[in-house]
Amino acid sequence: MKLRRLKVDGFGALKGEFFFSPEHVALIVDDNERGKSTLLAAIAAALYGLDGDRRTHRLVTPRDRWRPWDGGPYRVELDVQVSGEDFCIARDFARDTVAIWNTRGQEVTAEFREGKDEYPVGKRWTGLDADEFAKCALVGQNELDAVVPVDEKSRRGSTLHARLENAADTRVGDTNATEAIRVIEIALRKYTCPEVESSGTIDTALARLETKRGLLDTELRALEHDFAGIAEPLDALVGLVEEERTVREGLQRLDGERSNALASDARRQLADDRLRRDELARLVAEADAAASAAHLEPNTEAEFREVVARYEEAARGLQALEERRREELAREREKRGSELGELARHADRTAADADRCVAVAAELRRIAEDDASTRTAVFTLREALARQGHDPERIQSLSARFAKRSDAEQRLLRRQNDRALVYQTEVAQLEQMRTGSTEVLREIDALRNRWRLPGWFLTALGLAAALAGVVVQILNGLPVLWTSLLAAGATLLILGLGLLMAGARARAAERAASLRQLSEAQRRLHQMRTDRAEAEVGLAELARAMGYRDQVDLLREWSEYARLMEESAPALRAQEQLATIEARRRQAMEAARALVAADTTGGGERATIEPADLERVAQDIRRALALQQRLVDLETGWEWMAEERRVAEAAATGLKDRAVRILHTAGLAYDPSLSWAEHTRELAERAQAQARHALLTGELIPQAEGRVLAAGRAAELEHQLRAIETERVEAAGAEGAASRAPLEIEAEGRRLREALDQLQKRRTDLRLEVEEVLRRYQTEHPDKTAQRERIDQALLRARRFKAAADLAKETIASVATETHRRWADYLNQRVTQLLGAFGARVEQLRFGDDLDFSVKLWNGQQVARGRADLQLSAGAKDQLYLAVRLAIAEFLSRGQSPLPLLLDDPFATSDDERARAGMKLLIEHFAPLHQIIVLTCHRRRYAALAQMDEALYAERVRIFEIKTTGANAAT
Amino acid sequence: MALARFLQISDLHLGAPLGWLPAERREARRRDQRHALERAVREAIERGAHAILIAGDLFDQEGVDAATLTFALDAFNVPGCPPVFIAPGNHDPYSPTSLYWSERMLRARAARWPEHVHVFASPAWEARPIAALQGVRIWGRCFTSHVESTERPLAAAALAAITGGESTGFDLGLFHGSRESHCPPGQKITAPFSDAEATASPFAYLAVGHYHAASRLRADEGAAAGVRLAYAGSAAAVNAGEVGAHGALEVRIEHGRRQPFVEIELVELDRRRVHDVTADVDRAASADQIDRRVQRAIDDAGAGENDIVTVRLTGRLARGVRYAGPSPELRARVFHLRLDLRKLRPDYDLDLYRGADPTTTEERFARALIEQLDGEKDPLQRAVIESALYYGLDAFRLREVTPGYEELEA
Repeated sequence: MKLRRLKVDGFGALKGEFFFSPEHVALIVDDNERGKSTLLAAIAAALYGLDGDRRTHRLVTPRDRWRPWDGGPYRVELDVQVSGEDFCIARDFARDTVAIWNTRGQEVTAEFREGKDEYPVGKRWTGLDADEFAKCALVGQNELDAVVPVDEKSRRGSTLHARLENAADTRVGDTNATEAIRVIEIALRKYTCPEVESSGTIDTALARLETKRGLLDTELRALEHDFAGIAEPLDALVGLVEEERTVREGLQRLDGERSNALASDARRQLADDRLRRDELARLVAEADAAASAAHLEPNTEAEFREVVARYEEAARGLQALEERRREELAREREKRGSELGELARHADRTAADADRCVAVAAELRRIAEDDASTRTAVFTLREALARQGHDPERIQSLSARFAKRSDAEQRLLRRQNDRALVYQTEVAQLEQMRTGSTEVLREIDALRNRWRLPGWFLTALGLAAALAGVVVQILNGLPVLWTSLLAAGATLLILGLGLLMAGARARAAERAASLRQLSEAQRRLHQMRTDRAEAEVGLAELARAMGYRDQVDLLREWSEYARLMEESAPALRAQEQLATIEARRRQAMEAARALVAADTTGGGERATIEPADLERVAQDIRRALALQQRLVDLETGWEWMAEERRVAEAAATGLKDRAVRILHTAGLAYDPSLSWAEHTRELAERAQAQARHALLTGELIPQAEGRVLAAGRAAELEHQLRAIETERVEAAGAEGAASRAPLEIEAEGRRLREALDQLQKRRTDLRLEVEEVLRRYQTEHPDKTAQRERIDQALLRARRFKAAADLAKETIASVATETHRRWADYLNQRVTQLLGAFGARVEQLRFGDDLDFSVKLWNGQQVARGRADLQLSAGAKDQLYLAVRLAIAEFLSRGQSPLPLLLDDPFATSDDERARAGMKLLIEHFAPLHQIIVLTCHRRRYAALAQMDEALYAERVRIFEIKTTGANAAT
Repeated sequence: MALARFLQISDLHLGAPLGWLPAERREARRRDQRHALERAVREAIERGAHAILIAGDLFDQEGVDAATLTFALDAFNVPGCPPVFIAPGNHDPYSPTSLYWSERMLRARAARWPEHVHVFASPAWEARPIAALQGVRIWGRCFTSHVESTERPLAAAALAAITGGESTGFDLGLFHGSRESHCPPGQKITAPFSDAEATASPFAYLAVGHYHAASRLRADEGAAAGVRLAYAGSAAAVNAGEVGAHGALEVRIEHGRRQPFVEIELVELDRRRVHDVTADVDRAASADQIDRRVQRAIDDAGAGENDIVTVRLTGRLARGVRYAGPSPELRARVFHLRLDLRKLRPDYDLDLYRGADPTTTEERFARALIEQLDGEKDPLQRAVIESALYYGLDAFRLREVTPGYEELEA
């Protein structure tokens, strides 16, 4: 691959176009810090692009690093010759575009696409990716210093040995074999195995996994052993079931015997029961015969005798009470009659009359109080009016004049003042409205006239033209002429009519509104004036009728009258109240006279009646009423005696009824014709029958009933008997079994039940034991089996990982040794050659298999690398490094298209002789194979070198200057 | 002509640990198995089957839990359930101490099989008639041990006792065994027989269990025409490798005056389907991208939330991408998701290492292991070598080695 041209439109601080001749060494001269390194980066960027991924470049991405400082275009274009064909690569980093053209001008970008959107063009041509290309083709100035760092720490971290090893071990990665092995060993030391919660070494994980697996195996075997061991208990369990069945059969047999005993007992009980039931029936029959006296109480006879005696005593007490009542009543009636004779004049009066007297007396007192207070108020108000200067006579005269006027006249007078005020206010507004409307109408008419005038003119002109056209047609004139005249006439006519219509309709709505407003204003004005004129006529007539000179006098007097009326209104109202009180007093006095008129002690008709008189009359009326009431109460006051009599009568009746009831209760009928003594004898006979019945029902029958079996029990016995007999039929074999005593049966039953209990207990224990083993097996075995499977898988994974990692480690170690040996052989030979060509003071360099090296100095002294670092000058170390780099580049690019070598001031630290030798080596030995581009800031040195080897430089070297304008020039 | 109907199931493996499923899914899958058996009984009743044939491995192992055993004992205790014939298989062999077959042992636990369930308890063929089918005999045999048997159940000597069939009826064989040359991957040969032996046997139809994938053998000569032998496969998939629908077979046999004719029909019992799909995750640059491609593959296969899916990842992952497994969201899309990473490779172009003259240690390391790989025949060793190759390249290129290539398939 040969570089032909580089055009930079913006890449860091660099701009310009650079032409390279593949046949010549390009020596690019520039001042320091002007962009030499940037140029190398631009070439690499053109070939491989710039990574803009922030995930891999957290601080600054390569794309951001080389973004032009002035913010202009960010673009490079590189012409390259590959296998005889020219290509042009154009990359615009600002727009993230790339385009590649071949010699024929065809775009071949797509051929270089790799992955989603990457175009590593250089990789296609050199077989190296960007990192490899940088390692092989770019020799940066800074790297020379880093080859053997000054400080010890840096030297340990990044030594030539390490760099060589990297180059030897991997093209792409920065990892050498040692580090790769270390990485694998780290992975082996930090193996995470969640199954045993291990994150230590793989061996630990394996050991734990194996231990865990062994544990699980043991547990599973134990479970399986326990499971297998339950066969014997299961056999025993089956035997116990058999035994239990035998015992249950024995119990069943005993149940049969027990049933036989129960049946004979039931039969005996049922026979006894039948005898007892016969006895009971006889007693019940006797009891039924005496049942009629059964309800007789035991003490009925004594009670009957006592009731009869008490009845006869009560009849005697009743007669004595009636005598006493008659005497007492006659004495009291005589005493009350004399008192009532004194108040005979109020005999027909009622309590309402007395209340009315009291009410009229109270009314008279209230009227007297109201009259006094109202008279005082009238006097006070009149005094006040007099103090204000009001002449009572003037008031009376004005009142006499105006008060009797009709309501219409008074309304006319009252509204006169309001009417004048409204008239003054509204007339001004209505006049203003009318003037405004008139102005608007005038303005609209003027507007319409402005439209109408040209309208009329155009209409006339159109008519004339049309007329002319008709005339020309009639006269057989040119058709064009009369047609034109007719058309023009029609057009003008339409325009004229249009203007007229527009004029007639201009602001039509506004004009109508103004007209309505104007007519409304005029109508209101007219109405107000009419009202005013009518009111004035009415006032003039009223003034005349009332004797006034004119309406002005009338209105003045009316105003005075209105004011006086307003000020003397309280006094007038008080006067009216006095009149009202007087009327009330007269009315009350009339009522009082009517009430007092009947009182013979009142002295006949009187002018005034005092409230005390009325109250005395009321008191007499109430006394008379009270005496009348007491007479009435005297008649009813003997009721206590009547009550007593009624009680005695009731007691006697009750006693008789009770005696009769006792007879009825005893089943005897009361016969009035018989004496109470005869009834008593009959009752004694009934009492004897009742005693026998009570004995039967209370003692003899219950005892008999207690001896018979209860209905449920008898039924139960019968049911039991039937069931037993049925069972006996079903189990005919058991019938033949010898009957035993119940006690023997019970003893045998207890023994068998105990045996059964023991069997069941043993069976339960055994079953629990078996079930526990089964449960454990069923619960734990699947889980542990699954767990063991997981452990097995983890173990397999871990073993495979360990085997793979060990294999990788061993293979890397063995291969690395071989690789390093090969590298060492090659480097020993080639680097020594190159150093000789440079004229370095190193006679020989020896790399070991570990890629460490020792040097043989010019004086034959063999020193190890460490000492060589100290003994060699900076220039010598740089030459050593350059030689190694050139050798590596050669080695790595073997078998591929020769790479261009871009060297950034490789001899900056060398003396002139060594620089000359180095350049000659590059020009003579490397340039025929590789395109060589050397960048330097030592302009004079290289000019001197060119003079010294003039023929060589003239033939094989092109020198360029980087200029700020961007164009470079060859010298 | 008369028509005999049977419902054939096998390999239900009740009580299997189901260790391949996450712990929280196992109980649901056990319910699926029980549901399959219940549905089989229901289908038999609805279809008017004359008998239910269970060709072995009803249980997964001897120590099934009490609940499973109780369920199985009760599953056939359904009104209308036809007679059930069980031929114990290698997972649930018959023995006098068997906790689920032995009547004596069951009695000790206060349990028993219903009257209409018959368990063949002899390794020799023995016959049971069917009351509803005149002249039809169900011949069965059982396994008596867990170990694989080389005994040939359909050899002429084993079948010598089968004689005396009625001309209007037929004999049906029910057993557990392996059809030679048709063994599915991952299953073992036990009680083998050949197609020729099956065709030459006196049975009109052979209901066979053991293989978890359904298959059949047709033969129009011999004791019957049509299907001569069939595996119903597992009634409900027992592991994620059993792809497709699972269930029972309805076996219809026309018999009477002429040669019996047998046809079968699949009756699906498993409410879940097992899918096996491939997802190409080539160049996927993140775990999310891989998840998306897996999701697309699942969607393309039509797998739903009730299904069991195995996704085989293929292609080369971008360097440095580590895929620890599907995200919880992706897992939740199906009942169970299993990822097969054996075909997945990191993005190292091994051809480049093969072609170029190796210069660096890395190249020579790669070349050395590739040569070892090419020369190795043992798959396990090949896998180790390939893992070593990728770990070495990771160390060179990424400066990082993380375990992750243990599942590579050579």
